[in-house]
Amino acid sequence: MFIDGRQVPDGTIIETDIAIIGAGAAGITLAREFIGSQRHVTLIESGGLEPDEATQALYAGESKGVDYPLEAARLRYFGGSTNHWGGFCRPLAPIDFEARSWVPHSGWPITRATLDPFYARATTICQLGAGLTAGDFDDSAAWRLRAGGKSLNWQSIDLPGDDFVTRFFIYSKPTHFGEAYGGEIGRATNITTYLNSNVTEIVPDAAVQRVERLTVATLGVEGHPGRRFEIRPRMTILACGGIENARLLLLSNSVATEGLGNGRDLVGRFFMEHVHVPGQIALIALDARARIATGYDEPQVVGDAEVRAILMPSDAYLRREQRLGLNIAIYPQRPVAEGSDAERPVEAGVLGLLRLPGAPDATVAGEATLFGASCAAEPIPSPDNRVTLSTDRDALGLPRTRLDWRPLPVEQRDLARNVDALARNFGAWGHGIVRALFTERPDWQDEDIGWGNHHMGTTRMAADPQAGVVDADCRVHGIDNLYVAGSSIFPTGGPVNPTFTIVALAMRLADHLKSRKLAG
Amino acid sequence: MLSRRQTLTMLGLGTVSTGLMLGAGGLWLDYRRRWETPALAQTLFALLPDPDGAAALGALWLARHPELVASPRALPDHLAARLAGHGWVAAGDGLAAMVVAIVRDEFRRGQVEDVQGWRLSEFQAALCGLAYHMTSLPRMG
Repeated sequence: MFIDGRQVPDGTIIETDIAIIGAGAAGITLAREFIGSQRHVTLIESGGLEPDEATQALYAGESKGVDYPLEAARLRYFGGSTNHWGGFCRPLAPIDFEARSWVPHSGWPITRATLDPFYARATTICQLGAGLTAGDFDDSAAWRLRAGGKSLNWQSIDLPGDDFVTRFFIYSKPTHFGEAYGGEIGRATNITTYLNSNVTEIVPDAAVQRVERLTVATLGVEGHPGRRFEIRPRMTILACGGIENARLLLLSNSVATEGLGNGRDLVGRFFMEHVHVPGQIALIALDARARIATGYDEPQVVGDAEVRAILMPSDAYLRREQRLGLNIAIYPQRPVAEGSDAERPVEAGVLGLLRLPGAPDATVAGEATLFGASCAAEPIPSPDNRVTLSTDRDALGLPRTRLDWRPLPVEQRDLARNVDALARNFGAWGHGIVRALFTERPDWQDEDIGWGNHHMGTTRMAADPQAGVVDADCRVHGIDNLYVAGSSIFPTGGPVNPTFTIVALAMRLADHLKSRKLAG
Repeated sequence: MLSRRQTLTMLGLGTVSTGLMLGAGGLWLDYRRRWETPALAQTLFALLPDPDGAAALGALWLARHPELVASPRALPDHLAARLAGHGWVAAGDGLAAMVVAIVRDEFRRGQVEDVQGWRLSEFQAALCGLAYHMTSLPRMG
């Protein structure tokens, strides 16, 4: 059942077993998991079923460091930011969960193996195709087998050594969770969804050990003031996204003045984004177009799945060189011979070097082609990159978000060195020569910094309460009935899009909650 | 078809080219009588499918290696020494394969030069430098 919060009488008190704040990828996944259960779930969404300007404007805020578009980077209506999701799915790698000496503050309290069964389940809700496993994201042979003997234009780039390996994104349609799952959530007799309802504070008991109530406000409409009501849940899950989760905990300060779960000043810190360098990080001149299968430059449909190959540094390379992770997409740009007048002589020289007599396997068909390479890079979690509260207030009278984010110089250095490593590997292969467009500098230049709308780390997971906001079960340290879902709990972000991991973690949290007795 | 001079001018290399010549002092003008191009260098040059393109890269690379234009023999000797270091003993049919092997080995070892962003192996870069030398020589006869 959907209820418009603007129709709820002032002062109403709603009792529920489980309150889920936020109806995005995490919140909707969690709610679905409880369809048909004995527990009553209340799903609270700030927006309606369609976007509206006034609600979206609640996301506006102040950004320091990189000029970050806080309002445009997220969507505040049913389905949340899945409404503009690109659909890229790939699990984090085992190494991403490890404490790595060269990545400060790294290490999850869970392993990739813990998440594997949930990744497999997440393939269904993300609509990736039938019968997929977490291993399918790494195994090119699996895709040849799935092609069932049909011709699949597939041949992994066979770079020498083990520095770079072929891995896969599997594409969601992309699933817009609101559209895809709103119907079944609406029909579920044990789920009530309050739309246009903003949780303004999570209020704990005096000892700050349990959540007692959620205060909810709606925006006023056409001269009518907004409504105020309360929800009293036995269990609360905060699922508002990587920035808003931290903001709401900081706003919840009427009892714990530093903010809820913030006794160690960790809430909002360690904000991470995947730097996407605008344009290309490198050009790759290949002696023949067919050296790189089309599976790298566009998705291939295999059965009911859509797959695209990427290059990633291998775990062995990352450990040996002590580097941050990276995913590299490559795509053909133009024949080498068709550059500008200024480019043509030098590129002709490069092509000549690729065609020196004596080069092995010089018979592959297709004209010499220039490929572009773009990337998303793993960020380092830094306590100085953080979400705090601004002195400006939104239409509900609440302090807006202030984001301080600037990627670290070491991230710039690592990315440039990874580009150099890519160049060495293509050179050693003998069929490609790389032009590095992203090179080592003392610090980031503004024009080098793009982003993926991936907000991570602000309520990080750690077994030790001194090091994180939530524990390995996603429960806020010290507060018995408050959990956090979404990418804000990622201690590190790896080099791949977060939605698939958000969904897997939400399913794991749902299983945990089902196993818990409800107190109170 | 662009002339070599037009090509280098387009690349903004006219100045580089002139600078290289001047940098070599009077030696440049003495090429005709003083440098009998070593046979090995001639053979290496003949391997290049596009000498003018290689020369364009070579001019860029040599601008950062004045020691290799300080003497007309410096670059051929440099290449000969690198080949010898890989066990090359005499000119012959195996030279092309040896060059390819050296290039791949250098990439593996990280012996790489940056030429306008292009990551060339050191030997590739020197080969391009040789192309520049050879195509810049006054025509004989």
